[in-house]
Amino acid sequence: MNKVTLYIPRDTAARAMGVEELIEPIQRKAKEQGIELAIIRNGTRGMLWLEPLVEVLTDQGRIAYGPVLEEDLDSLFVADWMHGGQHPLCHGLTDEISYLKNQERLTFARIGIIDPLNLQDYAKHGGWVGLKNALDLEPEAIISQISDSGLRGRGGAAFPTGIKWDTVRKAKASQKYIVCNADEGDSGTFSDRILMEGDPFCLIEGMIIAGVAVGATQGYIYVRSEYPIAIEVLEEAIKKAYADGYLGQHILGTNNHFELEVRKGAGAYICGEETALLNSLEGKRGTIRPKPPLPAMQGFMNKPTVVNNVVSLASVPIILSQGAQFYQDYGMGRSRGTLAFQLSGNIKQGGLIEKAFGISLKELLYDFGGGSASGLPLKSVQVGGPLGSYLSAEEWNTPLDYEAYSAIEAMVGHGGIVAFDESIDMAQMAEYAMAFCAVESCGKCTPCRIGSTRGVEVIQKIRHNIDPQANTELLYDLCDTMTAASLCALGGLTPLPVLSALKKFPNDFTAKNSHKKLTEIGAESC
Amino acid sequence: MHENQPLSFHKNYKPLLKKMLTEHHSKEGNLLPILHGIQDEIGFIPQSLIAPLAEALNLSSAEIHGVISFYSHFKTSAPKKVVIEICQAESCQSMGALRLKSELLHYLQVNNYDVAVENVYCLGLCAQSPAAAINSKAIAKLTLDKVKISLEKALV
Repeated sequence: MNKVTLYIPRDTAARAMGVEELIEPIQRKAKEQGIELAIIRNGTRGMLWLEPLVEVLTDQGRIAYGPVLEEDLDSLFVADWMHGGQHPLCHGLTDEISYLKNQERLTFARIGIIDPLNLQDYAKHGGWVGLKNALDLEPEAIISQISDSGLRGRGGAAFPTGIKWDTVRKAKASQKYIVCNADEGDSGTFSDRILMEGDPFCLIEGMIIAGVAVGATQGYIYVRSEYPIAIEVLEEAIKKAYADGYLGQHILGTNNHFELEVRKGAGAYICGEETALLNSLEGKRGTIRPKPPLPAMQGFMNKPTVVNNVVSLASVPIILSQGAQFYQDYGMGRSRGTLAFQLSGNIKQGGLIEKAFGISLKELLYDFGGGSASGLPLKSVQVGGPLGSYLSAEEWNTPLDYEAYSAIEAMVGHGGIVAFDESIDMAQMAEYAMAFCAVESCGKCTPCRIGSTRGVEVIQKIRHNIDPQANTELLYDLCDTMTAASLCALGGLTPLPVLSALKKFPNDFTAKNSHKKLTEIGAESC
Repeated sequence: MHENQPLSFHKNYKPLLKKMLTEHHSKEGNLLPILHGIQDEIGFIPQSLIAPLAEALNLSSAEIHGVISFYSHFKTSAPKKVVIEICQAESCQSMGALRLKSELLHYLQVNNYDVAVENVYCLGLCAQSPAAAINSKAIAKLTLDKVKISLEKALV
């Protein structure tokens, strides 16, 4: 019998496009053609507009077909796709697709290539080398590697990871913790999800190294409840890592111990903020804790705790395996290494693009993204999540670098990029930013809790031409208060999208609904 | 009280609570895992369990209530048979999620569907906007036609 190996992703992005419904008919049709199938369920390759992307292994390499829908299967089999046959959905060798070929995949090197739950596959593709190197080093030396690599927090705040780890290492306590923040709630972001679903051992390895470096023996991965498949994959991976001696007592026969558990969030955006996350992990309402004390000093259960984002922790193994210099050779200025940019919104070719810092938005939007999905010109781009600035076209050449972006009152954050075409009303997006803050505020501090609701009202008045000048002044004043006096980034940064929209797209704020009365606006917003 | 509640209101949930308390006994900060465990089994957290849960964890009923009400994921009454969570965050808005939601509501109303529609803010499918989840099953590149097909399946 003729044997063929297929790679069919198990990632949420493929499942949400119906990949599970393809498996049975593919198996049936292959059998009819006398083909014996080996199906490997990989992660996504990150070319999300092509999902479900099915790859056929040939002598030349893996050949990509996508998006494969059930109705395409007949013609695909007629075209002999099982042996790499030509078809309108065929994209040739996957590795040669320019979208992938022009990336610098370091942290995401294995994503889509391996079976995420196969330990042999993981080891064969460079897995555990970083951990083994770390186990031969003193804790200080591990942390020097992280510091020298220039790695900064990939969750958005860009705090130097090495400094955070060293603070926890130096703290004296009976118990320390490593907490992975996998509460990826920002619109436009999915790199954490893709990593957890596509290479969970990489995150686990990074957390063990962190534990060894700071002297922590317990880790938690706090995953949002909206990511059920990531939770399922992580739990399975942790079980396998325990069985093979990478977790538990005496890791790989050494005197290091590390226990790891997945915890599920419960639909609160604010729990992506580290102190709210810690409260949630302790079983409490996810409200903010004032800082100081820093979590590195008094974190989970008031013990010294490293709280790092998924991609930060998953970048640790490659730094320890290839060396700090290798990682730090990528990037520009004080932004070293790579960032997993996530291209989304109104864009033709959305997906995950891991590139060294310094690339411009323009290159990402057009060279990778291929412009808008609608075909209309792009108007505005939000970078760094719901709390990031909106950028207008003249800013799209600025290199994506933490410092270059703060110089233009924007933030790179976690590299989430949402594109909007010219049909978007930026005043509506500004109003939404305030409304989102009102929905998700934890309620602890007044500027955020009350300010966001007042913000919605003031923007509505401006949009409806009710004393626009005075209300615009009031909006600036309100944003000042929120920026200066909020306890955390939710209230503190919401003014960023609001004011960037107001300053860069003033025409959208001039009234289109001036005939409406204030009472009607009230009714609308209910 | 919710109209669906009387069906399940008098059930004895104590064994379920006991099972969850045992299962998560040794965990640090185990309230969320216990609440998830209960909701995963029966779809919501019954009011009648708050007092015994508080007692078992040495907390007040107010604290338990405070936690349940803080998190939008936790429900205090039995959910409808079909729950559509439709994403209304920025990326989905850029692909018409607001209009899609109003079309969906109109369609459900005209056809008299008793279906819950809830806003969510990001399902992590932003590159394939707009997105929704029907009974927790995610759907990308959402259209009204796609919802109709999934809805028929979910209602069977």
